[in-house]
Amino acid sequence: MKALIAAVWMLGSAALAGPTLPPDSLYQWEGSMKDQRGNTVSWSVGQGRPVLISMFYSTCPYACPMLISSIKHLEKKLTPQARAQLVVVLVSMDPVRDTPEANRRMAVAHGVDPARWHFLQPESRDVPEIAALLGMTYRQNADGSFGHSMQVTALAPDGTVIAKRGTPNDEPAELLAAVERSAKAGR
Amino acid sequence: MSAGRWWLWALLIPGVALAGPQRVQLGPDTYRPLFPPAPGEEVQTVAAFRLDVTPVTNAQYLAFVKEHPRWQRDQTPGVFARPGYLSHWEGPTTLGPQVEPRAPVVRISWFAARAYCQARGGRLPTEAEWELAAAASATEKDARSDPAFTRQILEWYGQPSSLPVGKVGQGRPNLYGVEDLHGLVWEWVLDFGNTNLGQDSRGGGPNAASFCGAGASATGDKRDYAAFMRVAYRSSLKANFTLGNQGFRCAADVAPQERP
Repeated sequence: MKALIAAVWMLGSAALAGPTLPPDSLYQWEGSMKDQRGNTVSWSVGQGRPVLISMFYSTCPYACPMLISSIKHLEKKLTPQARAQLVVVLVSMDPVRDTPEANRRMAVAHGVDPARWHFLQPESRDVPEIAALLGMTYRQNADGSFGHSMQVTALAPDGTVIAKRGTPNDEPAELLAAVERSAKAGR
Repeated sequence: MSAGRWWLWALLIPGVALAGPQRVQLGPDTYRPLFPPAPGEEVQTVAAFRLDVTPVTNAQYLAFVKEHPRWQRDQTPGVFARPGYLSHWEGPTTLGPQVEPRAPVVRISWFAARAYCQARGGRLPTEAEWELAAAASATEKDARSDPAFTRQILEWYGQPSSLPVGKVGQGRPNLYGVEDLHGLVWEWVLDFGNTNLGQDSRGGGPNAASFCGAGASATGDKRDYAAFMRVAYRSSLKANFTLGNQGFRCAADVAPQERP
């Protein structure tokens, strides 16, 4: 029992990142995830670079494809220098179905740059925590589909939130300016 | 043991009380959410689950932070708990004379509450589970249409929250044997942010139709104003909030083979 407590404690400690991160950095939380190549990664894959982060599910008929194309549009509006640095992180809210293979197909179907776009499959038990950290709401309906909000959050290289866009229809100027600023600061 | 050491027993008794919360089993049952999340989901099924009889106390939470230092108030990053986290305690690992050990712990974030329940082999209850338990009076499974029952809850909601929070387990258990669901503190639920979420992500945003007059008139049960108050309250929360009148209790799954 003591060994178990110790193991849980150590896992817990590992989940909190080092002292160099600001207290309000989202990278303070570290759960293990799989990317679309099947590699085990942290959701802080974009640490050190400007990040746009949101949640999705791959069987989503309408909202998620729209969300992804809206992020592609955002990317196109960035300067080439900022775009080259930008990392896009999309965490699945349906990790049972969104396996690395399913996510790889998503990445290919949307024609995104696989070096900068990460489709992540978290542990099922971590989904509520990820949504809480991003301020997103989601709920699985009886038919297996999800209701969910569509925020896109911009993170500074240290994982602090620098801007949010509520829906794909919102004016993106503030979000784009925040990404440009942190890309410039990072160079 | 010599008679001179009788006081050792007095030290042991609170230890026994801290050993673990009592949990009772509820469900399977059905629940009518105030805002049906999708057509055809006006009635939801709630699988059998266990629920703590009382909210988690200061003494129980103190034992947890001693075992898990990263949840002590001087070590928890702000992303998980705002600066008010446990600020009423004397120190990071001491309650002090002003804090009643048997009162519900408050100034606690959702992340912290969740970590506590996981460390104790449980989880936070879902909103449906919490509301199912909270609908029962001492004599009725669903007392929401009993004016005396709802009046009592609304009277509590109307009281100033600056009053000190009393001890757990002083009231009358409800029909399931669960205590203090009303009258002491507001409680975190696992899916606190999802109450107002519509059936999908199209148009309007999740909160567009959920508030004030429009929201109240769209609800499933217009008599249950107390539940509407809770919905409105929960939807205003963020997971790192640490409010002075908010505590929590834990729930646990019932394994399929144990289900009635």
